[in-house]
Amino acid sequence: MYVLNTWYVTAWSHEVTTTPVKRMVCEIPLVLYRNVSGQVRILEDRCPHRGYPLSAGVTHDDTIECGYHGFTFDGAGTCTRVPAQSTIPERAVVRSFPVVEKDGWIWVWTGDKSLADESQIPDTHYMNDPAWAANTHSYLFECRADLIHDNLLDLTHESFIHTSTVGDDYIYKHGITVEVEGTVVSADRLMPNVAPPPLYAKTMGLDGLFDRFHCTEFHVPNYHILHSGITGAGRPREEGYLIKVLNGITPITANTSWYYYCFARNFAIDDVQATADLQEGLATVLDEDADALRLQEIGLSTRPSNVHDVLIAQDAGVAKARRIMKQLLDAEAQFRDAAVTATSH
Amino acid sequence: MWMLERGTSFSGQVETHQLAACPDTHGRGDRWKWSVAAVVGDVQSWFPLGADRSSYTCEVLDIDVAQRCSLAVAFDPAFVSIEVRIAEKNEQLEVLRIGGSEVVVIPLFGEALVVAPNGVWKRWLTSGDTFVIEGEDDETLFVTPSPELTRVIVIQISPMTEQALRWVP
Repeated sequence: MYVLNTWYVTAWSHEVTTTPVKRMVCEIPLVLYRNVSGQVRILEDRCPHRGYPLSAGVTHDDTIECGYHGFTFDGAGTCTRVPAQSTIPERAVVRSFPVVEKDGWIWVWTGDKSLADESQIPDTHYMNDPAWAANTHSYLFECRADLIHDNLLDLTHESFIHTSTVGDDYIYKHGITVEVEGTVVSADRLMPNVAPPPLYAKTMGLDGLFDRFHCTEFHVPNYHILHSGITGAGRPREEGYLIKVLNGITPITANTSWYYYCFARNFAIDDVQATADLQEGLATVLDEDADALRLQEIGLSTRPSNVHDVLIAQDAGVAKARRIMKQLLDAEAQFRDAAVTATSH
Repeated sequence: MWMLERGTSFSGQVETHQLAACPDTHGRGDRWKWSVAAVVGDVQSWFPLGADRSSYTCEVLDIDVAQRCSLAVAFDPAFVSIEVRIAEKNEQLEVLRIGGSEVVVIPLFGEALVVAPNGVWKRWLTSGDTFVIEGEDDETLFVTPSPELTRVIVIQISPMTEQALRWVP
């Protein structure tokens, strides 16, 4: 089950051209392409004629032509041409999806079109703000999206998984504070008077003790922004070396997910070597997470359904987020059931 | 460690809902110990998920008669004990939380400031918000209702048998 009435990151802007791109989001096959005006179009990746993937076809102006028999559809999914006859069958329609392109990400709305509200897309300006330098990655994670959410909300794993990069053994010794407002869960950890993590210390050129902090802000069901950094002992966070990590988590299937990642920093922004070092170091971090969560997914696949996670106090954010996710899923299921009932009467 | 969940004011409650509980979520394999809820209608009709009827106590802490909304705490006396304090306008409460116990702060109406004595953190709470603080070490916090009409409920929950209560759990 997936929350569908939401925006999911589905590609980087640079990935989408006039050549069709294939994606799957929440088990919905999608084809993305850019029309001659530069607008991104997203349609269901299945020609209604015989089910052939439209992503294997070609685009012309605002349309996409099926590579099998030439059925052609515009950006709204309306069939505009059937080469073998002049009549267009009534059911020759492809589902189209609301799209927003913003700051380098392409967001798709997978649910009820009438509910698509662009203002719900979070602030991602750090990705292209000249005051910030950005490193980006995208990864295919072999695990359910929920495991990535848990991973980001409980950063004590850094002490064990990421020892060479962002991990230090002091992380789990510091408690968290959790704030919940609507569908946003924030888990904050302040670590006073500690050494900077190895990866950042090198980039920042720092030595000594500082106040380190990280706050995961999870916009349930699909986006996290991590407010992280280090600052002088007892000094306000705003004065410090700041990092914003943007994480777009998009379910593909029940046990695979896309992870769209941007690490933006407000220091050494013109330092090419720092950017290169971070690119490599952050890839290591993501590799470590991907590997750990793949193993966790395997572990969970054989766990009996009546056995549950043993959550601890550090998992407070995880527990709250899971409850909100369940509420969203339940609300959509209720709405669907009501719609089915109304249709059947 | 503390957790703050922003909520709907008591005057805006339309249905019963849980404000805080241990375990936080029913059906996850943990034994139920306590729940605090805003109960709309008859309190007797409220029975927390996971509670055991053979070992169960429910106390009504306050009632908004106009809205028929009650603040109630239910707990298993075999596992926890409850102490309730009420702060009203301009009346600061000093709350000593013994390590292993939990404190739940809920403004029934009005606003209140919760502050750590060392000033590391402070948060304004409004009606419907729930603030839970827990941890293995002793700590003191101050709850200060605003000068306007305010009533704040402070619930201290202590373990009877375990070394410590944790929030999840």
